[in-house]
Amino acid sequence: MTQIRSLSIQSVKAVAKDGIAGGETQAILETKIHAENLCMYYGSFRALVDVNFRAYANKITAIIGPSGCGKSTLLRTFNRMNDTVADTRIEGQVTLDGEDIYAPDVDPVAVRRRVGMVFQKPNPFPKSIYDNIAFGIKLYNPRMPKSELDARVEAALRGAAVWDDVKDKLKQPGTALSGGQQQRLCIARAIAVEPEVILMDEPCSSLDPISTLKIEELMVELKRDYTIIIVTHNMQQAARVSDYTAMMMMREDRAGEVIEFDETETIFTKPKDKRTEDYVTGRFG
Amino acid sequence: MAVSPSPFPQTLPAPPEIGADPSVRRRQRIGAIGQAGLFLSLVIALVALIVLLLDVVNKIGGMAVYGYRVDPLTIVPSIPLEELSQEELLQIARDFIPAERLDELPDELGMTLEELTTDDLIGVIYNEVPNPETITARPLDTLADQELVEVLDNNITDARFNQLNAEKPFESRSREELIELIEEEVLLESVVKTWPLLASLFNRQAIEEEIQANYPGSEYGFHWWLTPEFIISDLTTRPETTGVRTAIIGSVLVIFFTILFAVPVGIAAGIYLEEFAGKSRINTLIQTNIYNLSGVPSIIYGMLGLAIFVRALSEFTSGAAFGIPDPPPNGRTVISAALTMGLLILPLIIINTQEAIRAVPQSLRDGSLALGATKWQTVRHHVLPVAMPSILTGIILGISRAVGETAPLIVVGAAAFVTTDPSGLFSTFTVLPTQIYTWAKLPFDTFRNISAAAIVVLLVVVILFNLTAIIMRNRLRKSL
Repeated sequence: MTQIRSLSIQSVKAVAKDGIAGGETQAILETKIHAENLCMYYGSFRALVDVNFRAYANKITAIIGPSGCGKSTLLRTFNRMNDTVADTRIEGQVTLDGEDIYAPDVDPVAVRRRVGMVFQKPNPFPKSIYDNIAFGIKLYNPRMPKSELDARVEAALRGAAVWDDVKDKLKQPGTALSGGQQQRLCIARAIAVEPEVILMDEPCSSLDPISTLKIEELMVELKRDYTIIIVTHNMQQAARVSDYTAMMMMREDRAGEVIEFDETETIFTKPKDKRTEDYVTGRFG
Repeated sequence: MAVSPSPFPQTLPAPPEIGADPSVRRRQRIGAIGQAGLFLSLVIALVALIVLLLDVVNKIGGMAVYGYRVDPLTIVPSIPLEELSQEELLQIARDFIPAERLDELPDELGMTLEELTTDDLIGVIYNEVPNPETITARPLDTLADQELVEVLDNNITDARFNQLNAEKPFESRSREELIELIEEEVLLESVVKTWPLLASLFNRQAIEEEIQANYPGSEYGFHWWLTPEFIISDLTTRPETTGVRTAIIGSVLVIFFTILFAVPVGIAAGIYLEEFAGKSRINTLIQTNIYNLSGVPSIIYGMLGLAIFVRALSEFTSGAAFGIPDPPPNGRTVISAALTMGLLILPLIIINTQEAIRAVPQSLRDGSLALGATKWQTVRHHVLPVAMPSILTGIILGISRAVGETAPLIVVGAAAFVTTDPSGLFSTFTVLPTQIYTWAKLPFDTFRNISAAAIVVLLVVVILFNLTAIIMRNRLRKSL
């Protein structure tokens, strides 16, 4: 219960506002991503079992749970990144704005344009800061005039609150930046292609507290335009930034499942499941 | 709280005082021995390499004794004895007939030498003096210019004579030039004995004494085998005048076309196997076979090249199918060699490309794919540029292997004696390693000297190729 007291003012407000709205207004929230009875297999190993999960538009949804419970795997089903691993398949369905993203005629490449991703370890391309951003833009408009490209690169970098750090060194390699700047560069790279959803896989786990704070503030900024789903090990972070939280656990057969999904405040203050309570209060295990 | 029992069956010995722990000292000592072993290995490797290099360099120059293959006195017509006066003949008889014979002769002949007629005197000289012609032979430097030209004309082919005349008319050549020309063309001035470079540098005195004792009156001096002339000259049969230009051009051409063939194919195959091919049983089989191929002895590739490129495809490899004028009778051409060499280094390049691509972090691919790039775009824009420096390292290894490879080219047809420079894909050719091999197995010291000189040239060619690749690699690294 101590975690809830450390919420930043901003997120307390956000949580409070949603809290006032209460459960009954949930119906009018627009569902962006919806996983229904989702099972996911690596070969014969079942990694996810009967997952039901929702991410609402312009909300931050956190996925928490102990290590190895399938948080990242779940996150990667939302932009079909698991497809890059050989021999994976799913049962059930995942929809984006009601469209089945695993339908046979859907190309994962098209899904990923609408669902961007930021990874655990900052992974800027070993190219200039400018090219890091421009690469994504050029994928969708290879013949964009230089002036417009410049403007878009700047807009993306501003959007990820990293413009002031890099505006004088756009030609320098992105890998030369600090960890926090690299991660914001990666966020800028993701938003440059104008996705609807941004998936964040423990985006702050390799960053120091100040960089973490900046990313968290950025996330709250970004949810005005994007739907954000974040996997995190950091309970305070989930409490501080997210509007909704999904709690995942591992079954006996090591398959991950979502045991509770609710507004963040509810998860942290009045969890229905005993295991969630144990986990968020640090008594788990 | 009660102390929980140790989970270990046996506790470790208690640490003694810091500074008096024999076990630490023992472990450090083992470390020191290990480190010394590593250093020793390095020294062994370096010494072996230096010895090898010295052995080669030792032969590229040194003291040499010069001589003529043809006795100079035999090429100039001597003055017939019949043209000499009585006085001169008597002088010859006195000088060249041994003293005791001179005493006996008057008794045998019944008269003194002075009383003999000119004809009889000549008969006596022929009887008593071995090789009397040489007595009246004239050294080259006593001849007039016109006579020198005549000597040249009588002793070399007309074609060569006309060629030399065309290079520079004999009338305009100086006396010294003419003599030099005769020494080179007719007398075949050659090195009859050589000493190693190091001995010549540090023990010159002893060598000179040896020369004066064993080769009195011979010309001698310091002789470099590796000279600019050696690099730019045609191949000839004489070590003193031969050169490796044809072989250098052959090597460079073969390697150029080898790279042109093997590098794109190897990189492409490596990318496909690593990035696009799945993990099917067939792909595993292919992969295993590529590893095996890289270990196949090069002579096998030579046999393969002989059977396929030289024989079966001779129509194409000789250029006949492409209508080139005057094609060689079979496929022993640059293109056959380049394709054979290409096959030889292909597995090397494929494996290396795969390893380079495997070393590219997955996070980079993820970052690109997550933006909605296709697999192709990801490989093209992110994986390949990052892997390229390492791929180039593999190419460097491949080139070094191909430049130095001899066996397959001997089979495929690098001829040992080619005097015309290869000019393209369908020329006959020779390469440096073949030339070195041919020279090295001849039983003459001087051929070993030029073989060493050619080895140095080969090393330089290898280094130049590698340097180019290394510079390219560093450029690529910098641009990342």
